[in-house]
Amino acid sequence: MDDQDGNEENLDQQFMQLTAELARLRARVHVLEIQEETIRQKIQIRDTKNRLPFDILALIFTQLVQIQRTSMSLGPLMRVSRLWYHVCADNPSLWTVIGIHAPFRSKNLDKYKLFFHACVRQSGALPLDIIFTATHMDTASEECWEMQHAMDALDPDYNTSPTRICSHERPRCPFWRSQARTAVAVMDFLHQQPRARWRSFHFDWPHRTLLEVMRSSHFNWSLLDMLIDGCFGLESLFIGNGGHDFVGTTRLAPSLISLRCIELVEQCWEPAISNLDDLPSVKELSLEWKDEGDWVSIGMRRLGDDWIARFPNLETLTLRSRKTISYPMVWDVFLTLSAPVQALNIKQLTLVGRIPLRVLQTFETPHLQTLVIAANEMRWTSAPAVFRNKVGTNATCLELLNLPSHVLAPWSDLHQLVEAMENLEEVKISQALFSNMVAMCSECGQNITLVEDTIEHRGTEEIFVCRNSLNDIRELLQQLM
Amino acid sequence: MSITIVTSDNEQFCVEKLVAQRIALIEDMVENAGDRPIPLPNVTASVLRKILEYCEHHKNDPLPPYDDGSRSRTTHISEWDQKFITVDQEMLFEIILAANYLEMKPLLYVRLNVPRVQCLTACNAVAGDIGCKTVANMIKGKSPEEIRKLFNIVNNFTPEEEAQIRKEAEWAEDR
Repeated sequence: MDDQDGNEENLDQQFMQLTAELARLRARVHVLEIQEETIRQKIQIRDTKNRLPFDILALIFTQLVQIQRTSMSLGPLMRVSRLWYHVCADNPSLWTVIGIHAPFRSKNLDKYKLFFHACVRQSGALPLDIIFTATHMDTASEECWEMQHAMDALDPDYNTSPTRICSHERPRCPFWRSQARTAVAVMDFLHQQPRARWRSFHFDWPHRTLLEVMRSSHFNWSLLDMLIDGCFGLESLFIGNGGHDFVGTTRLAPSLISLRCIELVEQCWEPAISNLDDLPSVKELSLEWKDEGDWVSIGMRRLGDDWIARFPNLETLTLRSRKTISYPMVWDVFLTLSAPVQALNIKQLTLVGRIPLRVLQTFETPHLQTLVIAANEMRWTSAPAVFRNKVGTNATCLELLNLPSHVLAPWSDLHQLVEAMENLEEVKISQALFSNMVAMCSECGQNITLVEDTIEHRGTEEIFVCRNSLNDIRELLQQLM
Repeated sequence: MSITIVTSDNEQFCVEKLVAQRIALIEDMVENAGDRPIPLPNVTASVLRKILEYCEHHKNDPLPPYDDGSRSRTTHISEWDQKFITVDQEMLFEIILAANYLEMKPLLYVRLNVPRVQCLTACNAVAGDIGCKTVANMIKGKSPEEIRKLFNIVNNFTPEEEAQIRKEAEWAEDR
């Protein structure tokens, strides 16, 4: 009996101990649960902070592709995490920029090809932008010089003959030859690909020497053949820095649905003017010159007297000259050739570089809406007369970009210019270096970003924007004077 | 005229209507809210302060030219915008997320009654241009490992997946 009582008493103790232990454990679980929740929340906050959603990442990747001008930028991104991989893989538009840029290395030739095929596959049926850059914008750069040398290196006599392009004589370097051969091999590869989906073609060779090279045994095709053969949807063509006088508009035009932008450099046209046909699809045309010797001797003269009439639907015309041009000589040629130019439907005219405003006298553009003058280092002494009679009369917007102080220092020039543009509604001045203090317009101060110290604002994007009546603009300019 | 905005951390902002209406989400809410404060439960005060600073600066910006997608878009960031976006990474991401939440991209879509494609407004730049460009510049030229380290991202690929992707993007290897 006693044993039985003892066991029963023991059971009670065990029960109490278990109950106590359970309570302790429950309390512990509760504490752990609180800790878990706290940490979970912290993780969530951390992940939110460090994890951008899918669509935002897609925007960022798009920006990166635009900045680097190639979908090749996606390579490292795909390997970051599953999310980043899917952002790349599930966005065909990210894969439309097939950009292959110098320097070219022969060991990468197969990778260029794999990249091309990856873009074609991943972009689905979207149009493709082909960018082939064998040089850099800065033509004075060492790299560019080397690329010029590289193109020379394709010359069979490269090892024995002095370089014909560069004034400096440099020791021959096998690397240049290797680069040039790789560049040619890439172009050869592109030539073999279907081109129906090509929307734009940006083609920037280092130097016109390549023209001769392309006619040599290194190429058995021409750039023109490449463009007219199967580029049904080509909208934008950039031919940069090359003496591609075989880019004949006659043969080019029929292959294009819409050619919206050509940036042609130096002599770009058929030697025989009679071959020049109309290009009705072209709406944007940009002409750029760098070398006055070529320009004068074989450049503009080939265009023909009525060259601009070949673009009956042109809406935007940009003339751009590099600073190496001795403009009086060059523009005399231009003026001679452009004399008969009539009207057109040009809505925006942009003059970049050392272009004398008397060039404007060659145009009659009654539909002009915007006139942009940029990086022009010339005094505008003749501007009012030019504008009163010709181009600027009807424009409603005047944009002045990147002008040095000596141009704008005499504000009266600008004032007269504005006076001559009777329909002017808007004046924009950007990246201009002023020697005078800019003051707030009392009438339209709300619409003006005021610059307080001109020295501090060198290179600023916006000096002021005034969108008001001509009277407001006059008033503003009077204050500036 | 001004309106009151309440942030997720219960701070109230009295904002000029012209400025606030640069934010599409608020513009939509103003009509229904009447005089009541407009709550923004997903935006903190510090972030809204930055967003409003941007809106204030750009409140008079005109619409950019028609963009039909055929033009190459600029990758330039203006000096003011550059200064504006020079913030720590956490704030940068918060600005981008907030701009996305606030629908700042199609800002003038309703008001101007023009197709959405044409409505690349100045404020759109917060999410679409400045913020994303800034992050893109941070990523540029970095290896996957460097990107992970920069943004504190965990590599959640299995070894098999990693090998597969490496093969898939063979063209990007050791260029």
